[in-house]
Amino acid sequence: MTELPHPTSRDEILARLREAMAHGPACAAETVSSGCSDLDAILPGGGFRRGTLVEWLGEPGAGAGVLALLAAVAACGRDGTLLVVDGDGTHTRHSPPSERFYPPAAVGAGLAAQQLIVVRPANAVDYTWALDQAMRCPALAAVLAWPQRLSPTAFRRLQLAAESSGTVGFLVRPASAQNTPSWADVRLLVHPQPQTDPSAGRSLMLELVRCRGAAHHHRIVLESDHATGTLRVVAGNQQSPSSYRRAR
Amino acid sequence: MLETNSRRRPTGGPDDAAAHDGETAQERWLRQAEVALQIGQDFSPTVGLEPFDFPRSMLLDITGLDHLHAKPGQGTGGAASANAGSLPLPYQGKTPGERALVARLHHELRRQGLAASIAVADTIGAAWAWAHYGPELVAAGKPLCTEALPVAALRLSAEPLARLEALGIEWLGQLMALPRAALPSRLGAEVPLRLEQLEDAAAEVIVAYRPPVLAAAGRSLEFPAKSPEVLEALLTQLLAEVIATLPAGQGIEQLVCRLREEGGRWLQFAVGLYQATARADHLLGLMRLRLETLPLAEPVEELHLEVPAAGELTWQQRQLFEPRPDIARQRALLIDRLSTRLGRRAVLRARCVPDAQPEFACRLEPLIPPRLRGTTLRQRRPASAQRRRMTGKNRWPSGSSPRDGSSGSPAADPWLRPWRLFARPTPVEVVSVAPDGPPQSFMVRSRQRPLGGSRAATQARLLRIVRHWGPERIETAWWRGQLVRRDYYRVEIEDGRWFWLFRDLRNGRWFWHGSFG
Repeated sequence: MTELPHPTSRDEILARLREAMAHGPACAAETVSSGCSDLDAILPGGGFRRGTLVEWLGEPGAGAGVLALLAAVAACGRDGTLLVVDGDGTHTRHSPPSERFYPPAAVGAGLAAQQLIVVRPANAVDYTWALDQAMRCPALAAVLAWPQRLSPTAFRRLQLAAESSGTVGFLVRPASAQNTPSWADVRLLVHPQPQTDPSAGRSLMLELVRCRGAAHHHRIVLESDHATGTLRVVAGNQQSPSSYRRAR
Repeated sequence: MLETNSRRRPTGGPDDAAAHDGETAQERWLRQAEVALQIGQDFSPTVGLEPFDFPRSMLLDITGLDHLHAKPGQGTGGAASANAGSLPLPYQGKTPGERALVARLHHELRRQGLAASIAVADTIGAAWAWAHYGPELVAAGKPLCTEALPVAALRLSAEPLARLEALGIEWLGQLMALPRAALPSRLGAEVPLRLEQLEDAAAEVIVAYRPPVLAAAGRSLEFPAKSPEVLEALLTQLLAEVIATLPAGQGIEQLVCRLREEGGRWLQFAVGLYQATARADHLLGLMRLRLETLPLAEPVEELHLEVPAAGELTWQQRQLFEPRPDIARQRALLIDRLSTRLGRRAVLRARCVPDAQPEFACRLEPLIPPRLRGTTLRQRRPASAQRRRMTGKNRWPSGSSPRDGSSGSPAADPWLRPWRLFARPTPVEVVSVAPDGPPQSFMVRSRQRPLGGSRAATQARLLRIVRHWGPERIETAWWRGQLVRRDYYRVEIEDGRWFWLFRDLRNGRWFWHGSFG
């Protein structure tokens, strides 16, 4: 969300008020950037819509989590809060999750540590509850979670919660979740592309498996830049409507 | 007189320490002190802390209580044998009842993860001396008499201690042999005072620690009730009374609810808040979350609400052009709700610290700070946070700007550190060409399923590495007891996935620490 600088003079305040009266109350931007302009280009509206869920599918280590984190950081901007629900939702109090969220990665992606809240529910019931509460809160810019299993009912609840609050929910899920029903607005499948050149960055193929409002099945190859850490597109926009229908 | 010197049980290693990550020394002390005081109150009606600025010891008056703990059917050795199989030391109680009390206190503290040194004596001074220096005498094999204790057992400040050392007086026996009348002129007033406190019970009393209650309300029910609706209605009334008795401009920071069941059992829960509030509906919502999980077996016949901690209500100036004015309040409400149901230690904020060891490069702290019931021990908000509240900026209460230096390094390469880290690094088997060279392929020998897929499929899979970056050498943490020496590698396997491996340079074993994505 772009915030205007605070007005300094009386004339400026009056001008701004007149403008606001003419156009109605300034509404928040409808979409947020995904953190990568080339990915924004294939999304309808130029980004992820507020109040929706975005699913990132990929095997562990494939890069889906980092891309989701980058998108969540971009959705937060300079002032927004990112809430991370730690754990995969299958752990219990006596068998805690083997993997924990590592905040320095979020700081490395450009988020300030003060913008981050990490929630660690002790069991699966609390996990679902915490995720639902977070999605319902309008004070959060983005929510990041990686539920292993998500029932269609719980998924629908999350989607309704996001809709009511305007928060963007980023869900990182295993590639096998592709065959399960989804209430997400956008579903992206990440395939890593092996490279042999040691100086090249990381190469990832992004498949837009499902997207509300998109007519074609997009597929782009992104490569990370070692020097700047940014992502740029290296292979063009392949469209395959037939496989798109099959995927749906 | 009974004195307890409690401390955290020594931790086993970095993995153990990570279980309490993000806790400062003061926070840990507050938590332990609160636990110890609660346990102490089950043992004695008079429980206090030693009268120092930063008390480390708890004092309990157990005069006339030993018969409550002695088991009449058993012999004198019966109670003592409960103490972990070892014979109790002479300073751990003279009568069977006292020894049983000490054993039980040890047991209760150990259940809460606290290791304590406990001593029973006729005076506070003697109990303190034996609790602190008794184990040393036992370890050195010295006779267990007062004369053998070092002079530091007198609770002296640094100056008289230095003077005694200069005079060559090391043991209490040497000091007690000196003529008492000459002591004040030679050593100052403190030494004779402490000697008197060591020997004479009348010289010092325990100041009982009473958690101050700022506001309280209670109801006794003629017809015990169990239905949630009735309890909620009662709590609503009590809340209104409690809020009305608070001074103007003050809000509740902590709320304790105590319920007595029909059988006489007391149940208690506390609700801590991120920001002080006086909104009854919000507080009621938080209490409802706790009531849902409260193990109520019998109908309730008595209800009490207490406010041990209150704070100034925050005022927030609304900005003329602010798009969403109540964002800070909404965030505070969410933090309160999550902390109430999941526990204070499950809702955390991150603080990056310059530590080379990846596990410790980030500390996670509860968003709601720990509060010991008592105004003197409460953490004060930093001055910068108070100024911020006056200016009415809609930001975090702590820290100045989202990107100030303490918050972490500026934006770096997001592919440098994995976004998820194993709580314990997973051992892997690695093939490398050179003895200390980079890895060529690795195999996971683990019961976990971090690679996805079925367990059987991942167990015996050899993953060939096609590219690697590193080594990133880390040699650090000697001050934590054990030097950590690791070579970290980012590796890409043949299907393009990225992992984070390290070799422990102390023994050459390989571990898998996280994955990128």
